Amino acid sequence: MRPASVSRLVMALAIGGLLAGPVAAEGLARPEGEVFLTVSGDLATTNAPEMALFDSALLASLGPVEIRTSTIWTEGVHSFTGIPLKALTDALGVVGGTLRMSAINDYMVEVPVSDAIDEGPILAYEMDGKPMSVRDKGPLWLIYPFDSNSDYRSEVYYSRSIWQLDRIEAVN
Amino acid sequence: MVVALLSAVAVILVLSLDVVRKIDQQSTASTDNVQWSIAQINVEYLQLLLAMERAIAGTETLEEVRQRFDVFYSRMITLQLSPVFAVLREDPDYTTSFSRIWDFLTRRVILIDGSDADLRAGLDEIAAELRDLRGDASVMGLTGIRVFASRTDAEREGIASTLLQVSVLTLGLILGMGILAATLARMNAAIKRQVLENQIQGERVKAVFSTSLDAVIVTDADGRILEFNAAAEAVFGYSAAEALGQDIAPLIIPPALREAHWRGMARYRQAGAKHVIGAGHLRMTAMRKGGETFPIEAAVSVSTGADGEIFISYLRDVSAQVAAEEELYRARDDALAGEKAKAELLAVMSHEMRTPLNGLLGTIELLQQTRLTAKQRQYHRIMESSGRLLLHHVNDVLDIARLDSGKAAITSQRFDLAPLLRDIVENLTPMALAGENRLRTSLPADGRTVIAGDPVRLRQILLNLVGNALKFTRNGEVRIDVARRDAAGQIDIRVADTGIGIRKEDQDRIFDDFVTLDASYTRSASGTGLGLGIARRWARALGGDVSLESEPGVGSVFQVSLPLSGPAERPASGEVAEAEAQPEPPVGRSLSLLVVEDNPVNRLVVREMLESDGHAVAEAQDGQEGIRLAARHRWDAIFMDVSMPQKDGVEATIAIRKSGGASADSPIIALTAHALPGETDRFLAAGMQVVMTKPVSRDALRRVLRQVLGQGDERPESAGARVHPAVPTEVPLIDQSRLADLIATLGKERAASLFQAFVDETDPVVAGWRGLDLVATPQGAAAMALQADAHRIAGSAALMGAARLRAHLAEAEAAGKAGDGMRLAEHLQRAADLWPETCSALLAQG
Repeated sequence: MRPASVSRLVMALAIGGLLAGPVAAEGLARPEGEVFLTVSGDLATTNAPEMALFDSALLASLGPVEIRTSTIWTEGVHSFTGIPLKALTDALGVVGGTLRMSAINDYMVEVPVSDAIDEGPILAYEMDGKPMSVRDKGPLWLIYPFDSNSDYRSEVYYSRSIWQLDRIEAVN
Repeated sequence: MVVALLSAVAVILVLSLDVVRKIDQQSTASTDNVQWSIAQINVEYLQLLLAMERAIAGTETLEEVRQRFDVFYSRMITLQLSPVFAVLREDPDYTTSFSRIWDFLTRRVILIDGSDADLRAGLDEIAAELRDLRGDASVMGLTGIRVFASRTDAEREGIASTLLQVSVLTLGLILGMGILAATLARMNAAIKRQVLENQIQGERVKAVFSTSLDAVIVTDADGRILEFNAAAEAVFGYSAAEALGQDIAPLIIPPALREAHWRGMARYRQAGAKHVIGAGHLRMTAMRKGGETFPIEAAVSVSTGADGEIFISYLRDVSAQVAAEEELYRARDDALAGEKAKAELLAVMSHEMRTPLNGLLGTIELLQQTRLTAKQRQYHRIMESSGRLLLHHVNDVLDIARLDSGKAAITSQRFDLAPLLRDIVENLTPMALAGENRLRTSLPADGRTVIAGDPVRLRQILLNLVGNALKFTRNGEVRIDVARRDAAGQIDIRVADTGIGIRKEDQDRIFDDFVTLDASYTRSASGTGLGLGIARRWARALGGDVSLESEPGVGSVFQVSLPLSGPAERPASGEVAEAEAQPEPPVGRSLSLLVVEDNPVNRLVVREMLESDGHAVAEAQDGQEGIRLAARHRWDAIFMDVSMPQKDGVEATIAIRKSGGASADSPIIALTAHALPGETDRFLAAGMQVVMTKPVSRDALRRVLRQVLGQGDERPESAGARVHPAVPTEVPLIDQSRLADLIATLGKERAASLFQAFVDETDPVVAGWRGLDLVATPQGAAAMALQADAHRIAGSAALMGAARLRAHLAEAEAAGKAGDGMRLAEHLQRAADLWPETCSALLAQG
């Protein structure tokens, strides 16, 4: 058997796994309010055809956390509330690859799934206890805990700190 | 160097980290949202404007307008608040444009947030306003790009500069490392060389150590043996294995010396006192394994070893050397003892031979006064000449003893050379005639034939030389020529013959004792082979010499060179030589004399001689009898034999002087065969005035009597007034060696000026002494002054070797101290008498 046939076989098995996905996706509820985040790509769990759609309630159900940090774009230390990126990837069964994130202002950046760790970045939707509007870099802003981890205070993480985020595509 | 390199490494590290960080920043600059954010100003402005125009045209929802407005609004807030853009906010163009846009946004946000109807109504107006802001959006974007581009450039330059610094530092570091490496390499090579040298050195030392003929023992500070070489094993009997690690003291130091050794070591440790260490070769005693002690020569040095001080001892067994030295000392002692025995033998010989000879010659002389037949007179002459010859030989031998002992009695007096030569010619004419030789003399042309010196010795020298010349000349001529060389301060007397001559190789030898060359002629007179040796010895004793020039078959010239010294007033020697040729007239009056002599023959001879001059003579057979007779009667003079059984002459003299008897002050004349000069002191010290050497002659007796009694005048009442005080009369006028020393020390010129000063200074003082009254003798202050003068001048006299003058002055001083005014005056007068002679002798030296 030639190696190419092996790859094909593996791919076939993988596709088989994906076909089994909708069954597993039964665990994720459907959004009832206005959808403000669309996740697509290689997801193990979805709530729409090949996609996971979130309104603010559904996202908040993933277990919000609060981090306090300063950023290079704001003055002073602020409190940010949101869902850890890890909670999202866990919920959607994203285990590797890259998260291609896009913003309302057409900014786009690729965040490796490996960034999704405990004490890692959060998808913030409140700043200082108030929901963030588009003018305030809402509806979602990927915030790394810059103050508590100096590794995050670099251009790489600054560039990944996408605001006005509304779409994520998981790319393997 | 190392610190510098480490610093350089540290700096390079820091700079490199900086560079890495900066390069990292540069590499991520492409993803940096700063540039993107600035570019987005225009994009989002245009998107908002487009959204509005489409909404006006009805192709877009108001919602889209609102969203684009919010996005643009958000961008503006970000630009306004983010510290990242603080640098932009310092640019005035940027600030102006930003303010216009911000003014628009804040004014129109109410409408945007308002109802759709209001928004739609105001859309045209807002869009128009927004269009007017196009330039401002552009200004903001361009300013941002310009500012951040220049900042990036600055960062790049910073990186470049840092890289340059790193390069320079790296280069420096490499250079430094290179130098360090080179240095290390050099040091390494040096160390290797050193190690090799040390190794060679060590091996050499080891070789020296093991092959040394001397025992070498190295110990530590506590005396433990560290090294023990093969020679040490051989010398001390211990193997190296036995010796190593042991204390050196019990091993090689004899028990009796160990305490001293330990004390010395303790002293060294405490105070660093070195007695043995570094003192060079020391003779010590060491001990072998068996306990046998033996002499060693040791040299100990101290050095620093690995564990502190070490002592290196070189020890040489000098047993054999010491034994050889001891043998040498023994041989020398034996030789000295032999010499002493020889001198003693000579002294005894002189006594044993001259005593009978004295009798023989005296009797012969007496025989002459009797009536003799012609035949008897002929026999008498033979007897007398034989006796004289025998006496001559004995005297030769005695002269050798005297001269060799350095105690020859030499006088210095003024005398005429002419009669002396005449006498020699007369004496030797028969001998000359026997060899059919002519004997001639020539005197200095100027007729100055009076010189100073010892006529007796000169006569003896010339008799020996002329006699020798005549012995070896046949049908020839012997000449005596006198040349006075005032400039050189000497007189030369040449004795030239036309005899057989002396070969060159024999010319030095003939002055040696007992040398008689193989003569071609039978000897006309028996010779001891001492004649020339004695002549040279005497000449040297007189400060001169005898030299020889000779040609075999042509002849020989002996030249006597003597120093010309000052005039003498009179013969000064207490010893009256029997060889004195001048006939003496008898003392002009009859004296009462005592002869103390144990030998009956000698006693008879002396008595006969004295009686024939008309004196009354009494005899004593020994010292005891002499003392008795001296106590009873006042003798004009006493002749005292020295060697007598029981009480000898010296003891008898002392007894007479002490007795206070009738003759306690009478002159006593010693008669002795002991001619060695050292003894004369003893006789004079005992109180004798004059020493006569046996055998005696009538002339000698007459001269001595005249000397001790004055010129034959009435004897003054004052006892001993004309008898010169007892000063060791054989004290020479001038101590030649002392004088020579002084001249050698000062140089001739300075010595001469010193002598002149002494003479000038002393002359007036001495003049005062001549008139001293011997009856009213000086007392008190006058005596003190005289004593002080004597002391002062005695010091100078001693310095210049004026020995006899000094002796009298010392006596004068002693007398002054003792309060004896008369003796003081007498000695000063005697010193005054000596003065002219002493002056001349000293000034002649200059």
